[in-house]
Amino acid sequence: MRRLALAVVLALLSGVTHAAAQESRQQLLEQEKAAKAAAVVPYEPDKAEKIFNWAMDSFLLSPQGFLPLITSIPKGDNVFHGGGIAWGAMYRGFLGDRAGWSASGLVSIPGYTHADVSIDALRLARGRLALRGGAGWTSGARIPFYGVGAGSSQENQTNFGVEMGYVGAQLRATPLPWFVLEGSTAIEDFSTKEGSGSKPSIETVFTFPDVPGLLSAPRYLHSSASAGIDWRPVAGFAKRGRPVVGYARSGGLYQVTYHDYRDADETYSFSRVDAEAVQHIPILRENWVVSLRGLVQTTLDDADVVPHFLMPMLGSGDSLRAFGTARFHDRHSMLMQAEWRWIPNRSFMDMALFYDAGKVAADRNGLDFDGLEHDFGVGLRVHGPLTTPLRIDLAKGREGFRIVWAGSAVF
Amino acid sequence: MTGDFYKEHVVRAGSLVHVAAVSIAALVLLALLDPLAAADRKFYDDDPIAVEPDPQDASKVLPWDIDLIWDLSYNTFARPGDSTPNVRARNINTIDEVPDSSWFTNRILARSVSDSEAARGPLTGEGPAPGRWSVIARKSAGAAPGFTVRDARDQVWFVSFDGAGHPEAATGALLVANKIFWTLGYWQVENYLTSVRLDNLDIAETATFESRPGHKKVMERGDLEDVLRQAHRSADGSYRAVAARAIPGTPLGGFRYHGTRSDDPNDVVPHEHRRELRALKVFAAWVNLTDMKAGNTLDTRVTENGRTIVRHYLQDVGSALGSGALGPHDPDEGWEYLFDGDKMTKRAVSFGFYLQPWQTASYEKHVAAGRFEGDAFDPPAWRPRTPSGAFVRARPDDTFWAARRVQAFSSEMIRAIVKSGGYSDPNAERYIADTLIKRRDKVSAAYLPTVNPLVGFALGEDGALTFENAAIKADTAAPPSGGYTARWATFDNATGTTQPLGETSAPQTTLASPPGLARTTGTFVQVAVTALDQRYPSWGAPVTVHFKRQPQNWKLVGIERLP
Repeated sequence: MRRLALAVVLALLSGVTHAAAQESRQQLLEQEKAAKAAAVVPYEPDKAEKIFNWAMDSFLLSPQGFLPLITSIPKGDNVFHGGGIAWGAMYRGFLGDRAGWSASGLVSIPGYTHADVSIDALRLARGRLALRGGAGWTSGARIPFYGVGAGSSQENQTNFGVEMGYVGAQLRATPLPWFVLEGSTAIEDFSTKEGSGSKPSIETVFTFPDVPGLLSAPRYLHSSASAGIDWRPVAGFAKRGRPVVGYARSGGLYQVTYHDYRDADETYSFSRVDAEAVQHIPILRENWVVSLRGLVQTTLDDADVVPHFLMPMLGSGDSLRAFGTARFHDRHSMLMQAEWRWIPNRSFMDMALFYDAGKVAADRNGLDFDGLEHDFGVGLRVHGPLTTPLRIDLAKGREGFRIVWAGSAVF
Repeated sequence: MTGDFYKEHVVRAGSLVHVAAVSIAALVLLALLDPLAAADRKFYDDDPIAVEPDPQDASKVLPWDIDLIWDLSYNTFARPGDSTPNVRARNINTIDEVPDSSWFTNRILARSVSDSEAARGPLTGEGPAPGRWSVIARKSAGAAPGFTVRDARDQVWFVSFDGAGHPEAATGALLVANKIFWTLGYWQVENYLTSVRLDNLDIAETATFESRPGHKKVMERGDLEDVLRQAHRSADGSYRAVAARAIPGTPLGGFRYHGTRSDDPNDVVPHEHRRELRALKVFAAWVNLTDMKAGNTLDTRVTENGRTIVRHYLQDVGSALGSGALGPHDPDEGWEYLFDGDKMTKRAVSFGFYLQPWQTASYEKHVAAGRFEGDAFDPPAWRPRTPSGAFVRARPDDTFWAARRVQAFSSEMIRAIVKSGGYSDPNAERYIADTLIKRRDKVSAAYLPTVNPLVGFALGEDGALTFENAAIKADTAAPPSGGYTARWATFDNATGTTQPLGETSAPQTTLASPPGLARTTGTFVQVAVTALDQRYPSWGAPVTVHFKRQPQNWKLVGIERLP
């Protein structure tokens, strides 16, 4: 400290004495630099910069090591609804230069839990192949259920619980940049049980066979294959389920997916086809974007018994947004969504007026435009170039208003 | 133990108080004794200086790494640098000019620059030697695909390419902007247009790259192909590229546009107060250099004439014209910051109907030109991706200084520079040059008339004060309806006091001096010159000039456009 004080005084006083002696501008400038030379120190980031860099390196930029997670419980194939925002942690590591592994765990406020270990090889065959394998376990104890059919009543809301263990693999091939082929196979071991929470448990209101698979425990070999064209600029690769888009303002997706669920004892085996179309139409250099989505899910064989928790479903933050989560279940469903998006900030934010319409039906012939449930609303989305970490939608339908808080793009 | 801990902290706190008290006392002493603050001269015999000295040894300056995201965030959401408003540039000499320095070398406007010299720019040789190249590293910074090679003459080159599907855009923009910024006076990399074929590349045994953070990987053929897959491949299988000669000296990392480098003894003027950095507000707008982050600059430690100093490069000026590293600029690039709270709010509440020019501007379609236009371009409204300390502090005298340099680029010079971009499509070359010319004229119109634009002062032996009106000369303003007026005074260099001599007026840019103009060697005269015209209210603020009497003539020693 004394040396520092001495240095300060010497530097300042030397400035005085030398300045007094200056006879030229050159000398004056040289003296100013001489004063600094007496006090040079290596650069040291201030506290704010240190904290910022530590946070970025630790949680966002580092591709390996621990990082915190704030996200949603993975829904599987439309099973785990109502989990809300989940917190957890992930550890990521590398396996060579083109593959990695991760282990993650999540817990949500309603008590849903999820654990997963997976291996990813995303850049095989010059980036044209991506392979993922993994195993995990998910449980939810307050999954809403209102009954099967379009006429289900809001008053009949119940809860049920599901646990699912899984192990499987998924392959994605892009022989052309816009042509996507996917295949997956997995063993999915379900165990359904009584629900918890403030609503009645499912078995106290509904009975078999009105609700297929009530409190059942099927073990499936679930295989899927899909083909599609996808020229959205930032399409990603979903961990399980359909491809996801972090954030897109242009391009489109047209994809058909075949699901085959083989129950180990054949009781609940079924097949389903999903057809999805997404189109983003930018207007005036993406000042506005008209975004359209259509999704049809249809069970192929009328004789198959589909457990209620694997039936096509509508009502959630990304389908009929003004309706309760998993509000409608049946063997077939159709959904149409339209958003008029405007972009307050190209890098961080967009907003939308939206309209959703859809229905579920027991027969495929019932997938018509009569009796559509619909809603409308306005939304705000905070996004980055690849992700939408926050989406807030306010929706209004015949059952009232709902606010959707989500950590992903709607489509 | 607790007592020691307590004692140690009390002692430290006491020392801090001691240091603060001594420092304050020293500052008071300095204020009392500082001859500059009291009655030192305004002008020295060597004013105006032409070169900023770097007398101190900078050999101990250490490399640093400016974090990209911190740099962008801090500049976007904070206002880094000196909080004092309206500070005059602090590295200018007494005639309002920027001396040559480790930052800047006066070229255009300061001296004659031929079209061919401008078109050659910083180039000193002929580029990479023909023959096989040995790849020694893969490019790790920036978005553009590239790698580092060693040529047959053992010279190291950094090679970058056009993005796939955007031939000539990134490389052309880099070559053109490179020549322009060199001609303006900035330290620039030597960039050569070249062509690369995969079968002409070897991989050095020592070649590695960071395949993931913290992990070096030995480079293989497939890694090279990965890079080239992102690059545009010509029909003959070659890749058009820019080869940048390795900058002399030891790289130290980029420089910030605010503050000073704490370990560089010669870096004493806060960067936000350096005129050549403030002037980038104008230069960058002209060429649409949208990516002005610290990561695109580079300090190097060089030893010249036995002295080690830090030299400051605008290293990467490639995000210019209408192109980024991989494709055209985003539509709003050059028009808005990445984050603009005011515009964001207006767009949010208006359902997007708060339209801005970038949404309706029309672009002549040339892949090589990208999104580059001149019709809707509004220089004061131009924005880089993120603001910087220097950018937001540019004053009208800084932008005037810059605009004069932009105006000094003749149309022929601009066409010669654009030709050096090596565009294969003459229509694209013409469009880029036409657009630069259009934007040059808009820069002149925006910034030359907004301050009192009188330049080129001289006081003749006959006592006539002559000067030029830079705005009129550039056809961006009409002659002032009220003519020009000069208030004359003697000036005491020791005390700073003046004695009025009188006032003269004239409709032209020659003003007679009043009677009684002293001619004793060493005396000073101060002249405050205004132009009167209601259309240009800023011309009513005087340009104050000082002349010092030499044995044979009057020497211009001071110009103050804005206090």
